Amino acid sequence: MLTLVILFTSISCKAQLGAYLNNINDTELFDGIKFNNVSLGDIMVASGDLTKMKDLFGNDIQERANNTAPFLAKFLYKNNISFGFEDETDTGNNYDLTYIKVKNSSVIVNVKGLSIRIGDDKSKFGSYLFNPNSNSYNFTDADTGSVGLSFQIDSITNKVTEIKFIAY
Amino acid sequence: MHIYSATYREAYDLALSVLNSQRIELNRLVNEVEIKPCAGDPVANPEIAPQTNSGIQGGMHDSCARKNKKFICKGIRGSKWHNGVDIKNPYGAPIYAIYDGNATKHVQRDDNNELDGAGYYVAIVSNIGGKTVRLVFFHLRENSRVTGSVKAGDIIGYQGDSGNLKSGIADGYTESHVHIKAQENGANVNPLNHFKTKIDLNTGQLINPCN
Repeated sequence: MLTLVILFTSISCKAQLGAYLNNINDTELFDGIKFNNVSLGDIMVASGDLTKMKDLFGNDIQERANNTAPFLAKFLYKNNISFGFEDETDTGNNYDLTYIKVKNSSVIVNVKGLSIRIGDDKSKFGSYLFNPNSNSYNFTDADTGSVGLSFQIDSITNKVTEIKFIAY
Repeated sequence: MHIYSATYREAYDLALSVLNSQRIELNRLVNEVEIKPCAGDPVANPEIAPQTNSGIQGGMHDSCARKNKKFICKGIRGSKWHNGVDIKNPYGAPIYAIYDGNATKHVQRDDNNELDGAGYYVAIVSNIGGKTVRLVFFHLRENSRVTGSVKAGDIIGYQGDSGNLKSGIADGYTESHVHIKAQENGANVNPLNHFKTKIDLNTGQLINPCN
């Protein structure tokens, strides 16, 4: 029976690929998504450079010493947010933003006119598409669907519990 | 009583019919999982796994199917190339070594020690015609990954959803796949160059199935 449930779930998920994604254009992606008023585009352009990231997020941001990625990488963090940048060319010239993870409610995230922080109620998302499979709101670029801004919702409290950006 | 029996019998038959049809489908899937790949392929009947909005281009090597404001990919500002390929593979299915070589296993974690990016992965370094070829297989299960000397055709691990694949599937960006990157003497190359089976670059499907 468990196998059948897994099978049905698998078929169900496959059929719904992309069904609950909220698409955004390049301007809404690069300029409209902000973390404490810093645009996603500016974070991408900083490319993991510690000095540039300090300019954007303050002097308390630090770089983690150990790299566990398959290629050259930089992992920067502070008390309320963390960032990953990887250079798949292994040249040190092409650090690409791979993730942003918000750690607490001191970070305000903007997207499509929304202003959301951890702990906010689900109702703030209004009529945006909600993914009942993952219990989250997800925003992605309309062209490729290769990057995602995700707001995880607690199914009991209906509050935002996690905010992360991932480049797939 | 008679009515009850008839209803019960109909329900029983219907349930049996559904179970049988699902058993057939399940057996088909199990057989698919158990088919060994052609010698020189990492999985049986390799095909490109699509991404939601970019289709199979999202899973192809060197496609401009990623977004980043810093980069210009083939003249497209704000786009970045996709390094490596995403090959469809159901959760739990084995992944095989393409060449003889030396395998190492790794895990990528973030600053909170949570699985991230590649998740559990295996890298295999081989010497092919005087070139050092490094193939890396992402998003595996933690257990049963191999290390040390491997032979072509050995199972090197099993498909998982580790790293960012788990949320990628749950949130609807992609489906289960092994991400493979390839380097020759340190330079990135298309992993498909190292597959025995050839894949149609327009459809993402295999051209010359051996099974």
